[in-house]
Amino acid sequence: MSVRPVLSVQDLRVSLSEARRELVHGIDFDVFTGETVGLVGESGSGKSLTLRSICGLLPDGIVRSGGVVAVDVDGSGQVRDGADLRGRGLAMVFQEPMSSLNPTMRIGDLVTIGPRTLRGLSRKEARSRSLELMREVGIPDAERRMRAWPHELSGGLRQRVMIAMALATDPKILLCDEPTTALDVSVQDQILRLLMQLKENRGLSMVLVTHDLAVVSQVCDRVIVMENGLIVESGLTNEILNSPRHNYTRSLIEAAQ
Amino acid sequence: MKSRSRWRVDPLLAIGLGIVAFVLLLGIIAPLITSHDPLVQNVRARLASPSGEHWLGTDLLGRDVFSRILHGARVDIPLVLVATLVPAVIGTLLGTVSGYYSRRVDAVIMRFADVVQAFPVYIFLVALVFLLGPGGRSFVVASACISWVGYARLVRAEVARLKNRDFIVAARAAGIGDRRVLGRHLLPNVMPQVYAYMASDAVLALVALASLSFLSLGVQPPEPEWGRMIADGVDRIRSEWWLSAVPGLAIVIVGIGFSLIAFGLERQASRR
Repeated sequence: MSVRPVLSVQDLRVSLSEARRELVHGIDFDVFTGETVGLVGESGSGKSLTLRSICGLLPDGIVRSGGVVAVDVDGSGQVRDGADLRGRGLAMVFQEPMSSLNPTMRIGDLVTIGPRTLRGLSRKEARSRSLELMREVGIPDAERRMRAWPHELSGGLRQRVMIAMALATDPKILLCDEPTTALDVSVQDQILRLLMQLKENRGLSMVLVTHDLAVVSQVCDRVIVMENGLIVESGLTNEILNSPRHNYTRSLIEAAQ
Repeated sequence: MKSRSRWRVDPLLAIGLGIVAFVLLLGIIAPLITSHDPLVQNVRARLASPSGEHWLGTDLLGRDVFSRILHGARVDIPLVLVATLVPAVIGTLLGTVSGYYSRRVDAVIMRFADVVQAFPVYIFLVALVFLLGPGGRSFVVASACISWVGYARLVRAEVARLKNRDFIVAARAAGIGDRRVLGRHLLPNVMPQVYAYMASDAVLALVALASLSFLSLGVQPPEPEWGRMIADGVDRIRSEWWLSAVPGLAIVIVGIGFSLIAFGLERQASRR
């Protein structure tokens, strides 16, 4: 683990732009290279907003009202804002693999569009790159699946396509917003294992938003527990799950059992 | 199974396309079907009744009506298509900008749309064509000035609805630029509705063109234009009724064709 964090969030504040109501009240955390950090909390705790504001993709009417998201993609110490690094070091995997895939595009085109636009690959190069990526994320029969439409795939395959799209730009940091919530339990396990494997092979750092503590214990090195837009507790996964200090964490763990 | 319905053509759409294409084709091959020049006058043979020589008789100037009806398809249908396409392109672009970008741009475009919409369509159209000088080109320009509003509103609403959808956010998260997101991800999901709207707009454009020409503001004589032909026959409606009835029927047939296309496209768009 290098000393410098690859992602550093400082005093992050997120607000409704019109009502001037603050939803995330100034939170700080760091993510180091090769590390997986879980952001947990119940609905409305601000964990998803935190993740989305890292890459500057907040919903309409919600803005980052303060704080710094400093990303140091290549470890050079040169820091840039996460919002400028989408597709250039940052990538995101979403919760709903169905609605996150454009229904009017074939799988091959969906995976290819990233490398084609950002790297200026030719059609042929992009195609072979897509095939590579699809094989890397374990899509069987990738050649044929290139021509499929999103609705023709199962949920698990769709999520693999999402992950392939995210990897297409060779990110250093992968932001995952409830990547397994919409999937069957058995598929969940496969996807998590895939994510862990990719993390190992590519040396990714991951931030994973979830409300599922089983997922956290399986993949996260560290956990950050959020409640009402504040961090209430953070630390190594084992410590937090085995001996939670905060009441809220305790109730989360009890609710999961 | 859903993938097949994507490509299955709605039967009404097929019939509508068939009708319009057939009439247009008749117009294109008109010189092969009829030996009469639609513009040649023959005063001695004026107002002839339908016969083997003149299938639909002749008009006040002795021109062959059947030939003029067929050649009218060459005048009316292309003008209607252009007068539909131009505002569709303008409106779609403005609507996209309006729906996707900042509120200030949106406000400017939409207030402009309000102003255009405040006028009754036909009065505005007649006034504009009058200003620009009668003729087919003025009709297209005037249509472009007026009809873009419908497309802009439609596209704006659709874009605004879609832009927060997961797959758009996901595309942006992958680092894809705004223009590419719009072109590859957003608009393909909006265009089916635009096409359906275009087809129903074409019906209005057809009637508007015929009306303007009827009022001597559209296509100018001696060009064979259906609306103008109706006007020419009005004085003889009691004796040579077909002079007005047949061009009227031509407009109705093409209008039904476009309506069926619109209906079919709408059904296809909503099925997905």
